[in-house]
Amino acid sequence: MFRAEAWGAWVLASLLPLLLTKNPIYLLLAIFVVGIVYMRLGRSSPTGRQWSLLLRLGLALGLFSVAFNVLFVRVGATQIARLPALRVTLGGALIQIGGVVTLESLIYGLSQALSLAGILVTLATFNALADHYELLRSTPRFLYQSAIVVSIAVTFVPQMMAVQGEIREAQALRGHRFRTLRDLPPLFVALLAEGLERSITLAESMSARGFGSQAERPLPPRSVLQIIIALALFVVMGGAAALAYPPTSTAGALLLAAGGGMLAAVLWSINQGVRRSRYRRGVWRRADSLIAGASLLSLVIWLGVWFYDRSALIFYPYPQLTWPPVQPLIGLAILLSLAPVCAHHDPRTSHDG
Amino acid sequence: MMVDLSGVTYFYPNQPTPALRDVDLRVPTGSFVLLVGPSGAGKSTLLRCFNGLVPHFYGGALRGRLRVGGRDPVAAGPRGMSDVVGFVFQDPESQFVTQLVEDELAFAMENHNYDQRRMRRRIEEVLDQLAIASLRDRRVETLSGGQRQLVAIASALTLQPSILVLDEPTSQLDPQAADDVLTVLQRLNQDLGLTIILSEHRLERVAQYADQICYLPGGGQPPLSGEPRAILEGIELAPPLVQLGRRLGWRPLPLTIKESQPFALQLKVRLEQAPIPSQSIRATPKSRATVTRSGKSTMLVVRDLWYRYNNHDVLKGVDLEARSGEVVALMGRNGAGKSTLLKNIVGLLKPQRGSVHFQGMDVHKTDLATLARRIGFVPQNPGRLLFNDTLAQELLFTCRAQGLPPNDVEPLLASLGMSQLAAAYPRDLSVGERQRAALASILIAKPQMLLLDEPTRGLDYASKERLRGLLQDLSRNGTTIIMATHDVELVAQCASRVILLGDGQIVDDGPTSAIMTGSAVFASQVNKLLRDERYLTVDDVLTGLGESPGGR
Repeated sequence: MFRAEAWGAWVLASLLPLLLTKNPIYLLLAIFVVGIVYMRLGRSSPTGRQWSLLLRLGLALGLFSVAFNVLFVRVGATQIARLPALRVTLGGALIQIGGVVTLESLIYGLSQALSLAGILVTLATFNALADHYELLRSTPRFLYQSAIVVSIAVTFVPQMMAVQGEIREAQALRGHRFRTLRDLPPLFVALLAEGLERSITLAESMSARGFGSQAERPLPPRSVLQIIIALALFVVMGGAAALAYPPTSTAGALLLAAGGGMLAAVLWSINQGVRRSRYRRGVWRRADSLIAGASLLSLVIWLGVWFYDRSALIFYPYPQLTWPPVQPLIGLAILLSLAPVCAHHDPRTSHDG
Repeated sequence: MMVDLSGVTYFYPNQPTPALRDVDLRVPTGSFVLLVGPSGAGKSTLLRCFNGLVPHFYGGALRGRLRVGGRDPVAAGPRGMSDVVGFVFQDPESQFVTQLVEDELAFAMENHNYDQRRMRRRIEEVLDQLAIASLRDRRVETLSGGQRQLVAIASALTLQPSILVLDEPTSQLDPQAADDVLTVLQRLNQDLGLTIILSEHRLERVAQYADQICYLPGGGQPPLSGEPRAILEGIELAPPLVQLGRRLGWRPLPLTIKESQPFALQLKVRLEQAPIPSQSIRATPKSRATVTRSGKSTMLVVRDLWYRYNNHDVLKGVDLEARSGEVVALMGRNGAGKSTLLKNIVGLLKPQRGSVHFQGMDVHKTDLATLARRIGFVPQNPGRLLFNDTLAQELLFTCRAQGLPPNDVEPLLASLGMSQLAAAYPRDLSVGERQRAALASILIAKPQMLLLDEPTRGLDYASKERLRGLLQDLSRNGTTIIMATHDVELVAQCASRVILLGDGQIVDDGPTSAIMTGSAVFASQVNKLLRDERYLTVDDVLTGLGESPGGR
């Protein structure tokens, strides 16, 4: 349909609102937009079934998030219910489960649920629409080895969810019932083992077909690479921590960029000698430019708001719930993710990739 | 020599006993070598030595001298061997990296930095060689099992390796798809001189193609290698035709139906002249059906069953009944609806129309826990069941889950030949052993009806023989058995009835002997040879001749 790079830009632009804000209006709009893209373009995809699986997973995680907030958070001015309270001591600390339920905790739980479900639905839509292997081929050579691992991991999730269903069925027919957490080992142990076995077969298959062929040039000493990787990870973690506090966020962003740059340099150094060719050389068309352009514009708007007017993204219902702020520019940035639908409609720009 | 191994011994990490011991093997260029041996004998391990996956991928200690295609796989590693050795794995599904067939074919060449023109030429050649040009734009998940295996072979061939190594490539295929794959391999061997080494349990499918058989006995014994007839003459594992030939002294020992035809004429005469013993050979179809249907109570009634999936009718109005103690084989090509029918019977899938009643209970209105106490279901992939630390715990888990007292696991494990594996980690077992472990974990609860989905996948002849005995014992004790299988020899040995499914419908339903004799594909080797409803197995023939079965 469209080039994988265009879909790559689209998924980044669609994920950003879900990662940067808890404002339920923006989140609902983002999910709505992704839903339209899927319904319009992705439903006929062979991997469409995985979309509903991931949607169900997203809803389950979302429900868990709501339940967790309602049961454990009692902050908020608007009391809407009272549940039986249970007090337990955990590691010396007294924890109360249940008790007063506030509208604020419920709404905050819901916004977290929307964020989680939205991320999964966006990834599922990307999964249904983008050709992973094309995306993989278009990654820079020095990132190829890492990209294939990520690509396989992305396609592995839905596969393992399907296997999970089969394991549940098989264990249920053995008489096992999944009622509490203690009933889960037959599912998770079997799933983990199955996943590992599949990974090993796939890795064997890739190695047997020359994946990761030896570098033409000798690599830097292993110890040097290990030290640089450790240092880069340290810088990345420091950057992430600094980014969380507004006074140091700029320094944090710089540190993150520096750490990322160091990791990229190591990867480049490791992979620079690997020879690899491409079988397909796809054609970049107007529709791809439209999607990529709209996505980049959306990314620029989001990052601009993040750096210059972050308060516009913040939604915090405590202590008293207020109507979430809405800015038309942010709404527009979200709507830009409809670009694939628009491009698909235009007969001059639609193509079969 | 394309392959030259001498004194190869290999230990997996932390294992006190070697998986391979003192293996000597020489394979001339252009040979077709069949690697056989009991489950767990080390066949997959040996195959992985050829391209360095062992020891590079698994670690452990490897001793001895290896030369494959002029290279040392230990020094070169799997990547370094990838242009010499093409490798095809047992499960085609889990070896694909990309989504499109054409991309899959290009993957290895891209890794070797071939230019685009060269890649295009190679892909066209391979598509033509394997006659799969129509699949080039297909997504791999839309392919049938046989097509997937052909694509896996094609993707291993694009680098034009000197050797093609295949680990049980037909174990998951129906007879027709398996024949298609093997025909392609034979053509590659004969037309291109490609050296082929493959492991396989169902020797009746492949023995005729081999120039050389390497037999790995397991248990630390050194392998035997040589000309097929010589090897099959002396080993326990042998296809039915060879067993019959050995028992009746046919020389040269026939490997194919064609080679057996001259002996068959004499055999038919002998069978006609032989006094039929009092214990009948194999009851005539009519009388057999009457006995089965008149004396036993009806356990299962399926009426007008329709099941739709992905806008496709997988089952179309299936009607069937099964009685107490009946052994019913569901046969048909991959995708015919066998597994779907089993899942509908056990209540895992809900049909759009129709009903399934087991002992009068509507299974789709009964909860799974209640059904699980009466119906045992062994899925196609035994890994779905196994998760405990030991095999014994696996069996006891079933007892606990069904609220049964802990049974003594030893007799059941002994009947499946697994006593020595009671303390083993189930997922460390070989494919065949896992299959039996999954079966044991269901049988421990003594279900009244047993549903088996491809129960002989990965089983060697000895394991199949044990399974046959077990199924016959269960049947005698009144357990109804319904098995979806491609294994015609198992069906010939223990099924009383065959249901042939095609495109979601019952194409034929009748006594095993009648169905097999009327089918060119779903027939046992002995039946193909004699085309007589009374003779499906070697035992049938021996009984017909007045000789004692067994000991061949």
